[in-house]
Formats: sequence, C-alpha cells, structure tokens
Amino acid sequence: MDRGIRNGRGRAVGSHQRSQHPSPGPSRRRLGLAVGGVAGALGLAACGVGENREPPGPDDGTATGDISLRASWWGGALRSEQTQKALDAFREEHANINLTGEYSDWSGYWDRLATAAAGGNAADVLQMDVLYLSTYADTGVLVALDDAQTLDLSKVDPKVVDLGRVGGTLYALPAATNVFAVMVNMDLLSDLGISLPDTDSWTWDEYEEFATAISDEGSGEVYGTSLFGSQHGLTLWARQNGESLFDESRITVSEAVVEEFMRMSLDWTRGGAAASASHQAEMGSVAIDQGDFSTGKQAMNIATSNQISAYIAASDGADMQLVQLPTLDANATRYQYQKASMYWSVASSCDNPVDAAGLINFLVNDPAGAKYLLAERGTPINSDVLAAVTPLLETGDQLAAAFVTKVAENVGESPVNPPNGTADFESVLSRHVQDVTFGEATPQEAAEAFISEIQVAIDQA
Amino acid sequence: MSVVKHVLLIAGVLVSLYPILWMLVSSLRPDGQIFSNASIIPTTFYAQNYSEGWNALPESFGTYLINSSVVVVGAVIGNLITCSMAAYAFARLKFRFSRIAFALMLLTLMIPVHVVIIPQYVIWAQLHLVNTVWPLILPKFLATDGFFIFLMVQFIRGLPRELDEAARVDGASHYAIFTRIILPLMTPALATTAIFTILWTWNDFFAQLIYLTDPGKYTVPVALRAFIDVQGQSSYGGMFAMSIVSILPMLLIFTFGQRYLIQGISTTGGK
Repeated sequence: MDRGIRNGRGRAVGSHQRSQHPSPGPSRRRLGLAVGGVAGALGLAACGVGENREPPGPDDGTATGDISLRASWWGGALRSEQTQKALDAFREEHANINLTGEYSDWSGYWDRLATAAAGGNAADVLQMDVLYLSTYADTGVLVALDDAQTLDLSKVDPKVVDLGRVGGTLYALPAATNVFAVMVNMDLLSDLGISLPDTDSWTWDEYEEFATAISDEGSGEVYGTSLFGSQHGLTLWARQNGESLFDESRITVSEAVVEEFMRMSLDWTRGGAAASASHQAEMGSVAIDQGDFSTGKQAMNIATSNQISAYIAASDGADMQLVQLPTLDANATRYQYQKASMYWSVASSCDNPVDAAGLINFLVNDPAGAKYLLAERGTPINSDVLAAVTPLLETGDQLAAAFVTKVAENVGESPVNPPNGTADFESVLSRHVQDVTFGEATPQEAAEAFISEIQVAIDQA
Repeated sequence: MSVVKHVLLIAGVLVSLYPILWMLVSSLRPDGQIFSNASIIPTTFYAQNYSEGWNALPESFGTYLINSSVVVVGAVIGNLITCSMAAYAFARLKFRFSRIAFALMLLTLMIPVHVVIIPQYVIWAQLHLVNTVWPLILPKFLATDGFFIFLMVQFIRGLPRELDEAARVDGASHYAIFTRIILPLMTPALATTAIFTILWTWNDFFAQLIYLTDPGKYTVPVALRAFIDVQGQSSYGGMFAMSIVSILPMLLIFTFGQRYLIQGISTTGGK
C-alpha cells in the first residue's frame, strides 16, 4: 500500500505553494543532478545552432522537408491555452513542421525533463528557469544560440539577452522580464487621507517613516508595508550598496550589507512599519488572493512587477500603482536590472535546432505569435512586440509593462545567474529573517549564519 | 473495556478519514475559501467546481479517465497472466539456476525505482515507444512485478502437491496442471494481484508523467497536476472535485474487493 500512496495522489494534493520560485525537494534536486551527470556521460556534447543535421533550406538553414518539433512548458491552464494558440499560428506559417505542445506543472516538468534529457529525448524547445539554467547548460543538454540566424535579437535590449548567458555563451533567451517594485494600494491611502510622497527619489528612511505613518493612521486595521525579502530583493539591496549577491561560484555579498538588510527587517517589524513577527509568519504561506495586500490590510507591497495583475484581480479591482524602490542615495545608482521571468532554450538532442530557434523567435519577436502570449509570462522583451500587444493587455499588465519600460532606461549591468546549489535560497533567507524578527538571533548573527549556509549549499552542489 | 476500545477505534477512524472528508468538503467550496477553512463541516454547496473542473483542461476529464483505464486494464491482464506463470515455474518446476533466478527476482524488489528509471527510459526512447502506453503496459506482460510473483509463489507452495501428482498420473501436461488445477485454486491470490495492480497503476504518477508527453494521452494523476500553477492562478476547487471523481472507482473496488485482499494475503506463506 505504501507504494500506492507515495507515488500517487498524496503528492498532488499535498503541494500548495504559490511562491515565485517553489523550491524543489532535496531528493528531486539530487535526482536532477544525477541525471545531469548521466546526460554528460552519454556524450550529449553541446553543439551550436550552426550545425543543422537536416539538409539546409534556401537561406537561413531551416529544414525544407517535413520535420517534427516538440515544445514543452510548465504552467497553468491559461498559459497552456495561450501557448497552444501561438503554436497554432506558427503551424499555419510552417506547414512542413509537425509541431506539438507538451505541458505540466512545475515539479512534474523538472522530473520529466531530468529523465528525458538523460535519455536523449527531451522536447526540442524548452521553457527554462534561472534555477536550472546553469545546470542544464553545463551538462550539455542545451544548444548555444549565439549563431542562430533564425533568432533576431536586434529589437531586444542586449542587457536582457545577457540574462540568458552561462559562462558567456547564450543558452537561453528570456521569454519575458519583470522588475522589483513597490506596489501601492491608492484606494487605501485615500481612505486614510494620506498622500504618496515623491517616489522617484525616496530613501529607505523616508519609506520606513511613511509606512509607519500609515500603520499609525490605520490604528491596527491597516499596516504600512511588507518586508523587503526574497532573492530578488537581496540582489537589489547588494547592488544598491555597490556589491553583488553572487559570482560564478560564491555568495559575494558582504556580511555587513546582509546585517543591515536584516536590521531593516527588524526595525520595520519592531517600529510598526510592517506587521508583527507572528502575523508575518502566519501570512507567509497564504496564496496571493488571501494575503493582506489583496484584502486591504496592507498599503504597500514589495514584489515583482508582473504580480500586480494578480493583486488587482484578488482585490476586486483596487487602484494600485507601481513605484520605484527606495534607495540609500535617492535613486542615483543604476542598481536595477530586468529579471527574466523565464526563458526559452533549445535541447541539444533536437534534430533541427535552426527551426527550433525559429519557433522561439516567433514566440518572442513576432507579434503574430506574441499577441497570443500577451504578458502572462511577464513583460515582452522585444520593443516592437511590446508596443503591438500593449493595447491588448489588462490594466495590471499595462502598468507592469509601463513600469518595466521606465526602469529599463536606468538599469545597470545584469547580475550573473545564481550558481548551482542555490535552489533553496528563498526558504533559507526567510528562515533567517524570521529568526531576527522574532528576536531569536541578532542581525549580525543571522547574516553570518545565512552567508555560510548558502556557501555550503553551493559547495556541496 | 469494549467501550474504551470502540471510542479509541472511532477516534482513529475520524483522524484517518479527516483528509478525505476535507477534500470532499473543499470540492464544494469556492476557490477563495478552501485554504482559509480547515473545518470539515460543509458551509457552501459550490457544485460548479465539478462541471468547471471536468472541462477546465484542454480535453474533458473523461478522456483522462479513459486513458487511465486503458493502462490499468492492460497492466492487470499482463500481471495476471505472466506473474502466475512465473510463479508456477518457481513453485513447482525444477530447472537449472532456479534458486538463483528466484533470488534475482527478489532482488528486483529491493532496487530503488530511481536507479532503473533512466536506463528503462533510454530503452523505450530507442525503441521509439515513448509517448505511447507501451512502456506502462508491456513490462507487465514480461512478469516484471516481483512482488506479485513472490505472493503467488508463496500461495502455490501452500497448495498440496498431491493434487499435481494425481493429475500427472492421469497424464496431464504442465499446461493442463497449471490451467486446470493451480489457476482455479489460486483465485484469492489472483484477486489480490488484480486489486493491488489496479490501485497502484491508477495512482502511479511518475512513470505516466515521464512516458506520456502528449497532453491528449495524459492519465488522471498527471492531468490533476495541471490544475496547479505555482507561479500563477491555480484552480484548487476544480482539482479537488476531480480528485473526488478519480478516487470513486478505487473506493468501490476497495470496498468490494477487500475480502479478497485479506484472504489472498492471509492464505499465502503457509498457516
């Protein structure tokens, strides 16, 4: 009986996470790594898109005969419906390509990809996540896209293209991007009779003061802000302090900077800008539509820009705005960067990588395909596509697109992708932040423990 | 004394039934109320979850139920035919290396499934049978379920040899002894095998996930996962509703089949 329960529905029903990057269990990660090793041993050497194995077509190397392509992604029903429509549009333009779409949920996707890649039978076009990009690129499962003639990168910001590089080689093209921002519930502010200060040049001190003022006015019903958590947030915090979170193999942020980050969480919690430590812990795992920001109990929320759609929907259409993060020096440094919400890559087992790259091009750069995908994966990376689809977007997605465009004018160099072994980053960070807000550890102790724990995880990977 | 015993037993039943009852009640709640409410007392009757869940995925849920049924029927037929034949050979025939073969068969029970997944996948990929039901059914026709072979071997060893010998004296071949003497007598073991195969195959997720890639070929456990989207909107109400639909057949089989389950196991391995 044990076998039936373990393999079956128990896992399906048990998992109820909605975080941005759900951390896969340790055993799954180990399987993934083992599989990566096997894939390497099977001799799936990396090859570039220049070398098509089919007879090359008229000009750009696309196949002329009948071929088949498989595209694979994770996601919910809406994404599958939109992506299938985009694939239908591609089929109409390429009658010789027998194109099939495959989808699955997040964890099932990585289980299946790990096995299929080891068997040399991965889907040809793969949706990829930053957590796994380095692993699959390093083990030769992905094709280098640098020379793909079918992939037009002229309308994409080079800094965004760089997000898909591993060790200088382009292994993945961002499908869409988002940036970190402060979401403000304007309805709530006007109910409390508070007006938003100049957000283009505010500092963290001003932010804390403003959030505390909201909590004071809210008299227990409404509080000011969420904490400034998550890997994305800590990356930006390090950049605001002139450091970086990672290099290729180490966590590089200094202990003093992390300590200051922890101290800020403690000050906000103790001083009333954010909710009490126990309330934060209680709300830590609820879905977006049950969180305090959706239910009108929290005025500001620090999160990724593309989530604003979900928050607007969950709050029954509250007036929400995206504004710049506070900084130490009133937004003088170019600390921001566009983060790839997810990527597209081509598998090295693909027989027609040129055509596969052509499909990615169609999804990302061609309004004929992108108009079906809209902004469900994040804000489109191609400026022409963005202009073409913006009128079709919902309010929240339009806000996010406008905000990404605004921030993009002032971004710095893209950070390197997190090294292998950091897949559990979010849960480790929130555990240490919680230790601090509950008074179990000092900011200095937590910073030291946090950095060494992450480094050990990288070293062991 | 018996009052205490009954109170304890009833408390135990309630604890183990709670998750299923919660799933049933949650399947009748709107999405927003599911995780804010741990009570199993129904407060709403939101039956739309069932109609919406049935049609939420690209194929209607009936397709996935049929796909699962095909795999289950194939697996049951395969296991019943080949495991019983292998068990007869181990229990009654004398052949070279039979002890070693038996030990190897038991060894397959002890190898963790993760070790064999990739080699098996490579074989099926090279046979170009990935994305068909064959990787899920064909192995069952090759007597690869050591657990059931072992179960049936133990059962056959408990049957009196005099029956075989009497048939042999009457001139029966091995085929006749197997089909006319042993098979009819081992009905409880066959029933146990059938029920366990149905339950395990119906609930199996991993093999069906990796071998069936075309969404139109998905089975029930794989399709149920499609309701969850960790990075966006999940439809938990629809998922719980369809989970209820998918455990109904198993519940029926278990209710009517549990007599055989107990009989089949308690009569193996001697007295």
